Amino acid sequence: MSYSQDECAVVEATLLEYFEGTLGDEASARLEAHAAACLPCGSLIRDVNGIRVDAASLTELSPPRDLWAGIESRIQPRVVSIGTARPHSGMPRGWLAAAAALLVASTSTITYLATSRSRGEGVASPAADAAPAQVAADFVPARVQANLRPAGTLASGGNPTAAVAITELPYDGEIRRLQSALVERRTQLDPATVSIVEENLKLIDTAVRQARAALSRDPASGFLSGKLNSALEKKIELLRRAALLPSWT
Amino acid sequence: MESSLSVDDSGDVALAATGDRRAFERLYRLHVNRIFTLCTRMCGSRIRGEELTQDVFVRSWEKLPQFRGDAAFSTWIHRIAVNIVLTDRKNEGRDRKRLVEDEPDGERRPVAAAAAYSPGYGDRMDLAAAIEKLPAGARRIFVLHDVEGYKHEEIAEACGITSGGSKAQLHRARMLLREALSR
Repeated sequence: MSYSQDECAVVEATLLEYFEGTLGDEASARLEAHAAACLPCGSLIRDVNGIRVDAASLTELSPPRDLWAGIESRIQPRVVSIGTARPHSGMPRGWLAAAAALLVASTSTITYLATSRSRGEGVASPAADAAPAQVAADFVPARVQANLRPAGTLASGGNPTAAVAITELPYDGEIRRLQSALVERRTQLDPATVSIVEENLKLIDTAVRQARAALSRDPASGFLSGKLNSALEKKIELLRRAALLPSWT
Repeated sequence: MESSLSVDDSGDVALAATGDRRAFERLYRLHVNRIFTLCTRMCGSRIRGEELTQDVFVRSWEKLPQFRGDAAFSTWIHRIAVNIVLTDRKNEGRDRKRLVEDEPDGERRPVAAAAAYSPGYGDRMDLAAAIEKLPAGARRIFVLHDVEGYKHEEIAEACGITSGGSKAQLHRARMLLREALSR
């Protein structure tokens, strides 16, 4: 039995819908009936169906080489913000406090030796332990005095935090003692030198204030604690050096 | 090798999302064959398939923190692979030199004319080799539909074509494959 080219063309035109299942029952039955009797169309349907089945069951390929090394070299460790890295950042606060105490103990010894020598040279005793913050007023600019406060409290007036208080505690007494010693030695020092020291103290105190302000917003930041400690240590070092300066007259 | 679709990789996905590269390597080992297969079949080149596979995993690493787990990781990375291959400019450049030009989407070419587009196949080749020889557009649609099981609507969205265009390319690909495989 032969079929017209039109009928074969319809089969070809509807083949996709037939395999998609969207041709409809009646049209599908007509196509199947035609394909059963028409050799070329029957072959076409069998071939296409075979391609579909084979394509769906193609085996997985494997890369001929390990691609991981190339991938690993291109992927970078993720950047984690300081805020989210708090549990792992920096040294524990207890350690920081211990390290600061050790530093202060060593500088205190040097200061004691320095002030003892000053007394030996005729300088009045600074009464270091009792020296209130006001004693330093003659030497330290007023805005800098804000940093001089009873140990264990914050000058910022903001939210005091344990982190700041703990790490700063050892510095306060040392700074007061050195400033008292400097106040007493002021008249013995070169006014130009005093001026330079005061300018440097202003800079350091600005850094201290900024670190404290930042810490009040982010109290757990090890980075900021380190910055504050560093600034306070610089202040102690500067005061100590100034206290050890030889007399001008 | 255990199928990447049947393994619970959620633990490694969670670890990798936090930056654990060892966990991500385990995910790579689990899924690499499937991704390599997809990339190679879609682009028609094993060498380019390797490069694209690496691109897929690098992109996945970068996007992993945004992975919400709405779908399986295997589905998620599979879609990334499809997108990367479809936007692969290098592949397009090579395809322009390949054999034939694709006809515009939606244009259905008669079987006889499609067969005339058939590239110079050998006497008889297996299906995988014949797929590699298909024109790029027809090959991608065929792989996505008949090999990977995507629907025309999904293919149309991914490829930026119409559903009708996807069907036309699929029909053309099947006819070309039949022609090639019957020689």
